[in-house]
Amino acid sequence: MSTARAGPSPADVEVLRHLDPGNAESWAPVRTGRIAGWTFRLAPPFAGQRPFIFFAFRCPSDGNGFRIAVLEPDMDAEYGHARHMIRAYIGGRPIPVICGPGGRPASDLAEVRTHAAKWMAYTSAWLSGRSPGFSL
Amino acid sequence: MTAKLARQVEADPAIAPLRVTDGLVEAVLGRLAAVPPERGGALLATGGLVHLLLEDSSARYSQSTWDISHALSATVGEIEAAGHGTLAGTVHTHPAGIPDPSGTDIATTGEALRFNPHLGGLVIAVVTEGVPREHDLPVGPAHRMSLHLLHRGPDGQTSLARVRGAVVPLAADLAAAGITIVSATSITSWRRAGRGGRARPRLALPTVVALDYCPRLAVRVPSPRPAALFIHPAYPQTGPIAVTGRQQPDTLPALQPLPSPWDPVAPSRPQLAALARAAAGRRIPGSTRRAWPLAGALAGRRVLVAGAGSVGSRIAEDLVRSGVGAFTVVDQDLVAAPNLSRTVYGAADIGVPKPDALARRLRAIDPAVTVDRHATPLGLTDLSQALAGVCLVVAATDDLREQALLAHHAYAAGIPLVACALYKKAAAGEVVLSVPAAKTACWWCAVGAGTPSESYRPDRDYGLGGRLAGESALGPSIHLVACVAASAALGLLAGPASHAGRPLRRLLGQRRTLGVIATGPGWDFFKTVFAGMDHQHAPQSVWVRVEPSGDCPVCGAHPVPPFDAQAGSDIAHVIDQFRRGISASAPSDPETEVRFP
Repeated sequence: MSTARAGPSPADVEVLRHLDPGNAESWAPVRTGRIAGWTFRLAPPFAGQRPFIFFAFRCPSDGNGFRIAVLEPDMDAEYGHARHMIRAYIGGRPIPVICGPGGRPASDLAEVRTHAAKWMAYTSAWLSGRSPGFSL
Repeated sequence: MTAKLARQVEADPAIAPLRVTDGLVEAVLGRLAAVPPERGGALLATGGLVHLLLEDSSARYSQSTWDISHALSATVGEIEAAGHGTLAGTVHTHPAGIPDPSGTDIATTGEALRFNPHLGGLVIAVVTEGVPREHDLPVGPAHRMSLHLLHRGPDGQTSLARVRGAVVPLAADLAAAGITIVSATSITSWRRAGRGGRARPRLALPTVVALDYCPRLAVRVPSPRPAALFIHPAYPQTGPIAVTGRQQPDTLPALQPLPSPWDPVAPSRPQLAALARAAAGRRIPGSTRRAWPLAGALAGRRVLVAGAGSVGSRIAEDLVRSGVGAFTVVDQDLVAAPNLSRTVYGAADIGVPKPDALARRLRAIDPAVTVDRHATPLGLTDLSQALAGVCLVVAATDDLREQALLAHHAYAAGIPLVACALYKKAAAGEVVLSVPAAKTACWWCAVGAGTPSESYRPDRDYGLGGRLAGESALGPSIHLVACVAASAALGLLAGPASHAGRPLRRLLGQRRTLGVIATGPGWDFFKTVFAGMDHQHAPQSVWVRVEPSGDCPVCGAHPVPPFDAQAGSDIAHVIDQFRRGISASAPSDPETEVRFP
C-alpha cells in the first residue's frame, strides 16, 4: 500500500489510466504545502442529485493510505451515523472522512473509488428517501 | 513566679490531654531545663497543639523566682499578630522537689486570664528534675513536666486542674522527611529578627493558616517551587495536606492542594515523608527514601501513556512501582463501572477522567511522581508538545487510527514505543516494540492495516457484545499481555545492560518486534506452532520477525513527517474552497505536481 511519495505520483496516474481512461470522473491533482491528493466526482445513481465530489489525500501516519473527504454534498454532520465515515485527525483538526472496514484507509486510487462509490450509493439512496438495500 | 506553694493536684480525666509537639519538649529541655532554675517562657499553640516556646530572655530570674518581663506579653502579641500561634500558657522551671505550680503561679496566670477574656484557660507547665509521675511528660533523661490548666468555669470563676500530656511526634516525623520545624524562639531573637525593616532576616517560624475554619500549621517544604504541608492539630490521627504552587512575580505564590491520602492507623512517618515529596515534586535530600527494587534509577524518566484503560493503567502502575518518576497520560474517557473488572481503578474513581484517576493511583504509590494529564482525544492533543522530554511511549489505545498517529509521531521523534493491544475476548494479544535507534520496523509495518494482526482485533470492548464484566478471567488475561508489555517497557527504559533490558537484546537484534501472546491454550495458529507439545499450556508467546518496509513513510528509506497543524489547516482550506465554489488556490510545486491525463 505504501509509497514513499506522499502526493499525486506517476503510479497514481497509471492506476487512473486504467480506472478512468477518459477521465469522466474529472480526476484532478491537488497539492498544497503539506497535502497532496486528488479530487474527483461521481454521478449519483438517483436522478435529481448533484454530483458527489471527493478529495482523496495520502496520510503518512496511516501507512500513506488515502483518506477521502467528501466535498459535496456536505455531510460532515452525519459522520457519526455510519461506520464508513469516521473522524480523522489531521494535524490536530478533526476531518470527517470515508473509510474502509474498521476505519481502514484506501490503499490506492482504485480502492478510493470503491469506498467513495459505495458510500455515494448508500447516501444517494438515503437522500432520495429510498432504502439503500445494503448496509454500510 | 515564685515556687513556694507547691500543691499536689489530681489530673482531671474529663479534660482532654494537652498535646505538645516533641519539638517543643526538646526546646524546653534545651532552653529551660539545661540551665539552673528558674527559667521560663510562653507557650503558643495552634488549635490545641502546643508547638512553640517563646523564651522570656528579658525576665529577671533567681533560684526560686521568675519575674515575667513586660516584653513577654508584648512579644506574644506580636507573634500572634504575625500568625505563628496563639497564647496557650506558660512553662517554667522549678527547683527540684516542687513539681507543681505555686500560688503565685496560679495568681499570676489568673491575672492573665482576666486581661484576656477571650481565653477559656491557660496552661501552667512546670519543669523540675525528677522521675515523671503519672501524667507528667518526661523532658530529657532527668526532668519531668507537669501540666495544669487554669480554666474559666461557667460562673466565671477560675479553677485549676492537672491535665495529662501527650507528645506528638511532629518534629521527628518532619525531620525524617528532611524538614526542620522551629519550635522555639526568644524575645531577643524575635526582636533581633525584627530590626532592619523589610530586609530583616525572618525567623522561619511555622505559620498558622485557616482551612475550612480549622487552623493548621503551615510548614515549608524545601523545594525549588513553593511547597508546604498544612499540619492538622490532631496530627497524626488526621493527616496533613500537601500543597504546592507556582511562584508569581511580585505576588504571593498561588497554592493548590494535592491529593493527600492518609491512613490514621498506619505509621505516620513514611506517610508524612511521602506527602512532603508530593509537595516538593521530587525527593528531598535526607528524607526517608523509598526502595527502587528492580529497574534502577528511573526517577528522571518520563513515559507517555496513551490510553489509560485496562492495558495502559496496568503498565503505568508497573512502571511507577519500578521507579519511573514522570508520566504524561492521554485519555479522553471517564472511568466507568466495567473498568473496575480489569483496571487499577477503584469504585471512588467512577465518573472521574481516566488521566485524573490514574494520576491519583500513581501518586498513592509514589507521591513524588509527576503526572501531566490530557483528557482530550489523542488526535486533538498537541503530540509534538506532549512528546517533549518523553523517554518512552506506551501506546495502549483501542483505536487503531490513534495508535498509528501516535506511533508515527514517536518514531519521527526518535522515541521508542511499546504498543499493546488485546484480541477478541482477550484470548490473545500483541506487543509491538518500535525502537528508532535500533532501526526496527515501525508500528504500522508490524500491525497496521492489511497485516494479519488486524483481523484478530475486536471492534470494541474486547468483542464481548457490550457485556460489562466479560469472562471471569478477562482481567487476568488482559494483565498477562499487559505485563509482557510492561516488562519490555522497563527493559527499554533501563537499557540493554539491565536485568530487564537483557532479554530484549536478542529480540531487537533479530527484528522480532511483534510478540503475540496467547492467554489460553490452543489459540488460533498456536495449535500448529505448539502441536504435539503437551507440556505447553498458557500463556504462550511467539515473537515474529518484522522488517521495515522500504517504502514505509514512517520507517522506510524516505520517511515523511506526520501531519502538523499546517497540514490540518491545508485540508480545511481545500475543503472550504471547494465548498465555496472556488478551486484550491494553494501554491503548487511544479516539480512534483502531476497533470492528468
